[in-house]
Amino acid sequence: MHLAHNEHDLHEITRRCHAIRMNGIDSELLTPQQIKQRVPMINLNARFPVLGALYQGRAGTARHDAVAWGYARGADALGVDIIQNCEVLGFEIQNNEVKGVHTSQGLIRADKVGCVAAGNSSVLAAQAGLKLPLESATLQAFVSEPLKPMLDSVVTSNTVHCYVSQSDKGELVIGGSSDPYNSYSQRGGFDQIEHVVGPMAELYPIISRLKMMRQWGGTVDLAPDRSLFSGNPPWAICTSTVAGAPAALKLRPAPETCSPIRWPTAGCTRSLNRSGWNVLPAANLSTKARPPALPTN
Amino acid sequence: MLLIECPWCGQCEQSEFQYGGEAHLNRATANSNDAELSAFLFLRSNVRGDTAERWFHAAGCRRWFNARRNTVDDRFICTYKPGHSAPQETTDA
Ligand SMILES: Cc1cc2nc3c(=O)[nH]c(=O)nc-3n(C[C@H](O)[C@H](O)[C@H](O)COP(=O)(O)OP(=O)(O)OC[C@H]3O[C@@H](n4cnc5c(N)ncnc54)[C@H](O)[C@@H]3O)c2cc1C
Ligand SMILES: [Zn+2]
Repeated sequence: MHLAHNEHDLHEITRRCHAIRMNGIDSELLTPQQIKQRVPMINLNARFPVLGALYQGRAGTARHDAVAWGYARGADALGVDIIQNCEVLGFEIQNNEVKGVHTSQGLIRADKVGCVAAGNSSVLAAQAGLKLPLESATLQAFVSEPLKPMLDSVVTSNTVHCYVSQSDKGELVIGGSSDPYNSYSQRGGFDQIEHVVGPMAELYPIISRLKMMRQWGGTVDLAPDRSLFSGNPPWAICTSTVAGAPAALKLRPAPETCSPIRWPTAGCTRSLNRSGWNVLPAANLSTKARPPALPTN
Repeated sequence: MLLIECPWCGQCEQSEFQYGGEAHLNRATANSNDAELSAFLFLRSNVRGDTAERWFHAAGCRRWFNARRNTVDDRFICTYKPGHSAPQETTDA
């Protein structure tokens, strides 16, 4: 559930709702009363009042360990060897073609190299002489003490910059925007904590005295317009807007290492975003179905 | 990086400052081609380690300045006025 707090937000969620439907995925707009029904703890009359929301009822959360282990098992089943504690230190490049990677455990030969280093993508790409349109920053998250079930949705807001969901164990999982400067520290700034808990306490006054049990920061790689990007062959790159999700880099540096980058790219896999909140295989959707009409008010 | 040394005001709280991205970029000109313009707009060094960057004392003197900072531990190495190149000595800020 994505909240709107002003007229511009309402236009934006309406546009997005249509865009999602045009892609064959169901999505609806909620009135403040409908939001209150689903999220009783919300304060609709906040400093930036809640005027509506974009809602995708079938979306939900998957436990992060399960996701990581699912990927690991899937890769393993496909014959991928996962070598732990093995740092890539550089690329073996001959005649402008990648021939392998130098690691802390020696040279590994390969004709093609994929790079999925998330926040460190540009650091690795630089080792191959490529400059990526990415900047790295810290994104923090917070986990509260466990509570009885009180929130049956993931509620996000771009405008006041906070999001919250409740885990199976009852903890509220809370986040906001990334820290506003480049960093690889994996340790967030203190003032950003206030930027997140301020709007949280305003939107959900009931949690104002809640204790946070954990806080951590990870490094996210952000494109300047927060969009996917891709380069021209012979090297191709896709990255996701959020937190360095799949950045696939097929590395074969051309003679002029950094060819012009095209923005944005047709054909660059949109499905990368499926690692985010709303998981639905596109194959299950009928794109022929006309999007249902949106409510008029 | 709880305190940042403004070259004009001295040490002030980090929350008074805004980040301004990589310092010492060469601006694209009217004669730049697409690749040069694209590089100026979108490509940054994104250094992991000692980097030079711009900061703005937004809730203070409202002046821009440059800083050298280590992006791994977020420690400021030094700050200096615009128009100067990054000092090489490492004074701990
Ligand atoms: C605080 C925070 C909260 C988040 N919350 C959510 C959420 O609630 N829901 C959601 O969907 N997403 C969330 N995300 C985003 C999500 O965690 C990431 O998108 C996802 O983990 C990225 O996966 P990845 O495999 O691309 O990268 P990562 O999991 O970051 O993997 C990159 C790997 O590359 C390795 N690496 C880097 N350099 C080298 C090198 N030189 N040699 C070898 N290995 C190297 C790193 O050690 C790391 O293991 C969150 C992110 C953060 C930071
Ligand atoms: Zn100042």
